[in-house]
Amino acid sequence: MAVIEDKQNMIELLTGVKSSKQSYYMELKKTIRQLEKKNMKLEIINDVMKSFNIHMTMDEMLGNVLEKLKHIITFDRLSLSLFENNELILSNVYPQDLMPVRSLPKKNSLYWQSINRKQPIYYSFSTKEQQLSIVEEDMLRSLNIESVLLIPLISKEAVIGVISFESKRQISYETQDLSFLQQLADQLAVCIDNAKLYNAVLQGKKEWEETFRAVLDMIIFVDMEDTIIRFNDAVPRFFQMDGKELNGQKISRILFQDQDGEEWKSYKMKQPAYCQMSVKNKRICEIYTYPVSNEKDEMYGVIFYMKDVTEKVHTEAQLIHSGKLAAIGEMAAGVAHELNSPLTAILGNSQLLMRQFEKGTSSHQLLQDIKNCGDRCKNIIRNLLTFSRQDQFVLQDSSVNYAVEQVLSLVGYQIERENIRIVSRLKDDLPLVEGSVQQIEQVVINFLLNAKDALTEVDRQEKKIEIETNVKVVDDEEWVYLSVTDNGVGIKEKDVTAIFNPFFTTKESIKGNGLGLSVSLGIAKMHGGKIEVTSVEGKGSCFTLLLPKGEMYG
Amino acid sequence: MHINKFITPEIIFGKGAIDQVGDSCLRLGAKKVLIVSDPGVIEAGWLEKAIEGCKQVGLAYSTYDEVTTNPKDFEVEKGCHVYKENECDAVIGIGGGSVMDVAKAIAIVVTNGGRISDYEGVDQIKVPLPPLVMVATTAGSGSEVSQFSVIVDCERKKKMTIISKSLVPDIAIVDPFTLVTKDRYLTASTGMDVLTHAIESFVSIAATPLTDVQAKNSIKLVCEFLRPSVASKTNEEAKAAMAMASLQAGLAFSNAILGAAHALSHAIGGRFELSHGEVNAILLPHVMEFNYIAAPQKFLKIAELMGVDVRGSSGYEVGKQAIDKVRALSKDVGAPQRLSEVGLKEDSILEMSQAALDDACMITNPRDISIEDVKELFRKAF
Repeated sequence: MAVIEDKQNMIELLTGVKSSKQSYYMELKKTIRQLEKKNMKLEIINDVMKSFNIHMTMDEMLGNVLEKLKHIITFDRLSLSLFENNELILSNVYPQDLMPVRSLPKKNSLYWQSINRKQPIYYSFSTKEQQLSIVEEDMLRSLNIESVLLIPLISKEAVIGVISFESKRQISYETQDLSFLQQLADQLAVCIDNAKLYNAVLQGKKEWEETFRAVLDMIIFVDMEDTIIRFNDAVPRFFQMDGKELNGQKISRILFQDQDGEEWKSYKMKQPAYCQMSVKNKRICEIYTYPVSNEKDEMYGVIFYMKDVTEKVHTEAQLIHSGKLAAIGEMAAGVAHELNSPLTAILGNSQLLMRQFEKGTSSHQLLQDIKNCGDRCKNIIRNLLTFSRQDQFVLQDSSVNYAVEQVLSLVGYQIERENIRIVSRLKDDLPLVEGSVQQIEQVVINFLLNAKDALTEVDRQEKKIEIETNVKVVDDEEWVYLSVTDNGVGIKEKDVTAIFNPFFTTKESIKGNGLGLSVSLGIAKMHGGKIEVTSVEGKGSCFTLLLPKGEMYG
Repeated sequence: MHINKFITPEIIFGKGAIDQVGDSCLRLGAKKVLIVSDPGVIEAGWLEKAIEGCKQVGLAYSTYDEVTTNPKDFEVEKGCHVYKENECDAVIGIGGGSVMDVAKAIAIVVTNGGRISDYEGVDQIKVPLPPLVMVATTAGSGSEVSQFSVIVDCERKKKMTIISKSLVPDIAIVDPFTLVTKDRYLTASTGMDVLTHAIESFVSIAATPLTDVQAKNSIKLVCEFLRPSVASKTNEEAKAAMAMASLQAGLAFSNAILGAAHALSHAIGGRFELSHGEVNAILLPHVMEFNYIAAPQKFLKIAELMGVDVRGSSGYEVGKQAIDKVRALSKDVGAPQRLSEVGLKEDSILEMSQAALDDACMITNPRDISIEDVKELFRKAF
């Protein structure tokens, strides 16, 4: 019977009752399936690449990839173990069933084997070839895992961990799938490695940025076109601007409101530089500039490190000035005392002599002159002593007019000697101000001496200084003002903001030290007042001290 | 067997059918075809004709013509190389059985990979072949419609029979006009091959009513037209009849398989450079004598088809006359009668016998056959 059956079967085979021509359609479907699978694989690899970013946890990422992976590879569980300090730490499991975050022992470990050999291992519990017990067995058995496929994660030729595909039954992986999983693992390894590096870099960057922001001084990064690229929080605070406004602005505009850029030394010399200048909001800054270069040593920007030193400079100026004043005062006091004795003799003697001559005689007249001059000297000396007296600063009702008169008696003479006419228009019933006469006098002296200096440099028919005191209303407030107007050289427009800076001077060093106006401004502010300047170059200037009216007249 | 199957390609038959070759390929979606032929076909000008057909429809082509009688496995490999080198996507075979078998074998390997020997036997092909168009230029092999390809394995010195439905070409073109270039001897031996195909498939134990129709008609046509076809190259009626006979014999044996004559002839062809037609012509009468007792009724039918008056007879004697008729036809057309004539030595019988016994064609032989029977058959044919 068997013979007959065999023969029948053979004949059926030959005549093809049970076979057909291979169908193109089926083949096409198979090809399409393979392509789909390939696409899916590509998509997965792509997903791995894409989803590896800092905003996604490793678990989310794995979840993403695995949902897709399930369509092409059969597995029930996946775990990811990473190398950390020479230990293998089970770091992620999917689905998240049990998560013993612990390091895997090296002895008899399948995971370690895969890592050490740098090659995939397939292990099935039911077909153990050699009866070795592996340390992972209990853990996997408890999850009903039957077979494990381990693929080492290799990035830049270093093993960084191992990925394990675990299944509740035995799986025979196709070669294509294995090579795909190997690729996936490689990709994963590179991504994990990159993510680590990226996070480290990011962390570092963040720390630096925090540092940068925490600095109280201003730090601005400027490109080669003078455009502001980055700055720390101190910058908008200082300029009282919105951060958005600052971005992309030219630094010169921000600092000086100039259209054209300042010639920064660092750009030209490609080395750090330092300068101190006043910026547009009347503050004085120390500016350090440092060139920034790329790897090729090409400079591509400059870092501006700016310190607001206004207070410091003012304080210094005050100190120097008061120091100077103290010295002048002491000297003046000394000189005054020295002069007082001869003056006493001159005055005494001239009075004694005057008694011996009739009034009206020429000798009497001469002696009278001597006495007058002596008196005048005495006055000057007394004023000098008063002025230089280092009184405690006390606020009291003071008359601006009195201060003007005092000053004129002190310096009026030397001004008129320069062929300068002084015109005073002092308001009769000028309200008193709260303050220190001496300090107000200082301001007046400064104004007058500056006016005189401005006039000595100019060639005019009629040189004059007008002094005016009065009251005016600004912003609903009444101010007592004192203005000193000259028709001297005037001030260059670009210097107008700088003249109040300490040590700013256009005069030769012997004549001026650049402290007068800055100290005056300090005094004005101390009195709750301000100083206004109008000036036209070549025509003259007008300085006005505005002081709030004293309370008792309010 | 209650269930049977009949497979056939699309068949384009008639004078001038060869001109359809380009269009046929286009219809199958070909972009660039490999045209397989041999030096004889080129000499006859049929390759040029096929190329012309491709050019007319703007179809790109490459050619391969290193095919010999009893085609070898390395010839197939070379052909595959040409196919891949030129990025072809369809195959045309234009020629006799050898050319068509090589064309089929190339088609197998280029899509299924590996070597041709991997596909020996029945149903070993797993992937569909590229579009196949066969143009038969000898009225003989029937390969243009069959599921067979027979290739010599040079290492094992044997003919590998490859049988698969996937080997049935998509389109078979039979143009009787191509037969006019064949010489007398080739016409005779290929004609005898047709008769062998027809008779073997008719008496095959896998024969079905569908194959019988084809086989019977083929036997009738050969009897009537082989002699005039051998006699004149230009007898168009005879050529058309022989072309049809070959085609129908092909349809018959492709579906009903063959018998001992082919098993023995494959064994010889694997070792010696003899034409398949010649060997079949010599073996056919001897195999018929051996098989006669297994299917007397079929033999009676063959005798009738060959012109024996069988009215009122059911006797063996009448059926046996079929064998005489075959011998007479063979002699008339000048086909060889003995294996010794074509240069075969008797000492090679032993090694050939086992190969013949193992051949797939042996399975459908109507009479059980032993190794001794095979040896005896060889001896008789010497």
